Amino acid sequence: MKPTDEELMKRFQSGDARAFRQLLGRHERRVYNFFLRSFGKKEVAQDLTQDTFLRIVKGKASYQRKAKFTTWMWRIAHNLRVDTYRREKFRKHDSLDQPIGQADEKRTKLDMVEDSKEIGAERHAHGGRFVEALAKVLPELDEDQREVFLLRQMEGLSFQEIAEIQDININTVKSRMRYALQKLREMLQDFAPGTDPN
Amino acid sequence: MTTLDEKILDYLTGALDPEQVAEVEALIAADPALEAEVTFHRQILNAGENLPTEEPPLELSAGLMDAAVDAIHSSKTRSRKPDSIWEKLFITFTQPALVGSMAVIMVAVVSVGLYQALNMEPGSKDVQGGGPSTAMVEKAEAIPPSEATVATAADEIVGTKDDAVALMAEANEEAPASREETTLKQKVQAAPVDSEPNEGTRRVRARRPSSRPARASARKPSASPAPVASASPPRPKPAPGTSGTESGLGSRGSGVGGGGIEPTGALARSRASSSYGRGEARRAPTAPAPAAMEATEAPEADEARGTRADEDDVERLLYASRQLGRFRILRRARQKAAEDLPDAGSSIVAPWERDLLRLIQNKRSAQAVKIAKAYRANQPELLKEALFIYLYAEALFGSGQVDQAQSMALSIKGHALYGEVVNMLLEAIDEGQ
Repeated sequence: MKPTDEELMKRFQSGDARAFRQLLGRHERRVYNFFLRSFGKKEVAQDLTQDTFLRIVKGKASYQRKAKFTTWMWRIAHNLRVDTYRREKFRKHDSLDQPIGQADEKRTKLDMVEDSKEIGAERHAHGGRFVEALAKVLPELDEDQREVFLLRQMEGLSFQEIAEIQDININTVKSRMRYALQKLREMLQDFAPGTDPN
Repeated sequence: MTTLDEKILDYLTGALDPEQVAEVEALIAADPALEAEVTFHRQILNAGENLPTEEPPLELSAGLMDAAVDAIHSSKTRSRKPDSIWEKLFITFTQPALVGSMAVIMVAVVSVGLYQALNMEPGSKDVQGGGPSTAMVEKAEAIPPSEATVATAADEIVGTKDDAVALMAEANEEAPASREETTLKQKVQAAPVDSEPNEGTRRVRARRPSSRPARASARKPSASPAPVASASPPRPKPAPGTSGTESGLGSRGSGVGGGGIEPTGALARSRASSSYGRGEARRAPTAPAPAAMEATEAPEADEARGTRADEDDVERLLYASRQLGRFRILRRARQKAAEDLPDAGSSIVAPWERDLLRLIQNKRSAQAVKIAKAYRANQPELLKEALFIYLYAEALFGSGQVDQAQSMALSIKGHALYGEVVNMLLEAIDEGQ
């Protein structure tokens, strides 16, 4: 039987590095993709994933087993996301990072928004392309709504868990989810059944 | 604009109880338009569950594992119970409060002794008796020691203890680094070839004989003579035959106390990304055997080229390790800046700092030079920033522009915060030359 996250964390607390490796194997990809969808930049996703797990490493002594490991981990990730948005907001100079990245890192949030305007050209292409279209319009969502959507749909967390992570009322979480869906519905209007492709 | 019924959305997101679900399903069944709407929303939710995901870069995991191992190592060091009674006594007598009290008492006794010696007539009974009389002790207790003297003495003692703790921490960090350096070559020989197309893979792939001729011929001439043909990007070379330990890698490069874990920021990032060599080495056992990997190559050619490749990789890892050492010191300086000037925003990493650190550590020094020039053109005031100049110099050094790197570094030599790391860079430049 596979050990639970909480058991692995306890083993890590008592000095077992392999337990941390297992935790990393289970969650690193999830956290990385969460940040990737949140910010749309690999570089930022990599940095924030690293910061999340470094905080877990640094705070291992403060982790209490009665708390669910994933809730603790996502709360750290949530706080980092909020801090990063705040910092980006007050940054005086724009980063010159974008033009120098690798080919797939050259895209900016603006590009993604521009792409979303062209989605109409791909209307009625369902299946994989619908998922792609959703991925392209996600950055246009309000950051809090997007986080709820991602944690709920990508990570399968319950509204209660999301409420604990974001430290807000569960009704607020549900409300954010509703707004997120509503906005996505509008942005993906061209894919709606009965819409004329031309 | 479509306004969705709250209940429908609750239904779609599974937020209704069974009774409410039945109620909503009845509504949907009775209304084809609503049914289509619900289906479309369900499609969005399903797409959300199936969003494509990507693998994080391998060096990220390697850096994080390094941090975890360091954390375990440092916590074990801190929490180790004393073995012998002497150790227990030593620990007891090195408690800060006790040390302070003892310092006060010692200073008081010395002050009183001096006071008595200066004021005592030669040949008096107290002096001749060879020890303080009861009267002297009473007198001594009545005389307060100079506050400044006590404070200085206490500071000195505490400072000495801190230094000792720092030295111990350095020694603890030094041990694995030294072991790593001594076994580095063996590890490189057994190094893996990863399947992931990332930076780490590209570095490892540079060892593959099939890619060597083209890469070797493409190499730019370096300011320093290369001891061996190299498939790696141009970079400063360590002196031939210089090992990491000999070059002060352990002592200079690992001078960070507290286990070397950083909470956030690019400087924390620098640690993990610049420790790629260690991470790769640790992954070695799980990777395919080099023999199997290169089975199609001619064996004699393999042998000759393999040796050069090994030397090359050892060299590259040594360079990266030295750079890691510098960046650790840099990180400490940045922390100090953040502590000293919290209002000046020194804890916030500027875009140029993040960009340059990332590029330099990813061995994209030429690109780092390019971007440094772009930043300089865009923000001329950056030429007053010592950190910018240091990183610019590091990028120049990494790209083989040794003279320019040296003159840049010299321009900030002796800087209050970055002086130490600048000196280290200058030493590395000297070694490279």
